[in-house]
Amino acid sequence: MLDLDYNNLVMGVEKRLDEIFADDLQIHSPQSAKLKLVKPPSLASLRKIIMSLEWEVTDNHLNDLLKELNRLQRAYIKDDQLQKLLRLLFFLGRYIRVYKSDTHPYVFNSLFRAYNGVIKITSGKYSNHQKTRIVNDEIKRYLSLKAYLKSKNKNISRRTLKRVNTLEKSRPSPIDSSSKQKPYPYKDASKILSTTLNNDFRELKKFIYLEIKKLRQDLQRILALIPKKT
Amino acid sequence: MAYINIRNKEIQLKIVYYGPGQGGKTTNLLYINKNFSEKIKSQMVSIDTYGDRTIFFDFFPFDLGQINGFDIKIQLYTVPGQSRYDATRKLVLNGVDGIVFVADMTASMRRKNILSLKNLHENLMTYNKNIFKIPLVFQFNKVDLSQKGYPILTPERLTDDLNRQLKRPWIIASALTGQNVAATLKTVITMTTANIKNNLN
Repeated sequence: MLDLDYNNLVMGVEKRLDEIFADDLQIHSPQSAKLKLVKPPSLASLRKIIMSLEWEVTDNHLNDLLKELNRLQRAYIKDDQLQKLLRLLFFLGRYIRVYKSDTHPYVFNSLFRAYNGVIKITSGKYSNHQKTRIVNDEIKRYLSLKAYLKSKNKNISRRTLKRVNTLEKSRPSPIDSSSKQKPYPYKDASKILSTTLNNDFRELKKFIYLEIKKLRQDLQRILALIPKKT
Repeated sequence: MAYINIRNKEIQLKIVYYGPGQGGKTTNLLYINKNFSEKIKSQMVSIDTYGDRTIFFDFFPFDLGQINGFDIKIQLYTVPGQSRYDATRKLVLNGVDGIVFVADMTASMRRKNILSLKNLHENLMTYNKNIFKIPLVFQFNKVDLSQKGYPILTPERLTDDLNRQLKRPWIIASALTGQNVAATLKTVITMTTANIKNNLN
């Protein structure tokens, strides 16, 4: 009862405003054509994109889907239920675009089901109550899918972490391996080792000496900048 | 929230014109006052103006008459756009039902538009109102400046700056010439009336 009155009220207000502003709205009709963007367009292009996605998932199709959903969200601004479903479709589309081939098949099922929900809502065969139920069901399914994917991702990350840990354990540590390693077979090995070590040590010494020299020069420069107390 | 008296069958809607300073909020109301005051049998009241700047607010009440047995009364308000009058803006937003955000298309006003929208969002939050839920229409004002050779922001740029997340209807207008002033008002009143259902629930 209230619904009927309310709908008539909105229509009545719109009619009265048209009467009041009639001249002005007619004068500026080319510009007010912009308003026509807000009016609900057909869902034909969305259907086309969904059908192409059923056939093949490409970046182009996904970009088209997101663009189309953006357009429809703007167009159906007054329809709360449809807005919810379109937003849901948008989230799913974005998810597929990010995860690409790694997308779980359930996400596609969810996308097609949400699209069917959009078709049902716009068919005009359902009452407001039924529409709300359709949307709520889809949202519930979406939330459970989200939770499932989250838990799955967590499990995967835990599993990979576990695998890494076991691999680390199974792999011999470099210290252990060196201790178990057999002596180098070359007879002058110890001689060569000592000379290379000596060379390295000399180079390191030279480097440290140069660094200290640079630091000392910097310090002197800074000290020169500080004004002396009289 | 809309004042609804079921017994007396009266509905009162408060619509606020919000936006950056000198964006054309008062000009919108002045145009309606000049061209439609006879039809809607009302006069605009401007409170405390200093030259062409609004210091307190402009108020324009009018009656749409009996529609479906309900007496629909509309109250249009503007806020001072200047940043220092934030307290007044907050005060005027109390009990708002619908908002027209008058964005200035002048190229140099880009930042001020964004800041003003942010300010609207913050001020609405003080009344526990959500900018995503309240009926809101964007009016991209001063389109006539492009004909005079001034650089202006494109609607795409403005939509990207202000309306990317909100996804509300936007209208290109010129409050000075009256282009789409009525269309903006019609859109916001229709949206606000449609939103009454939520208030009743």
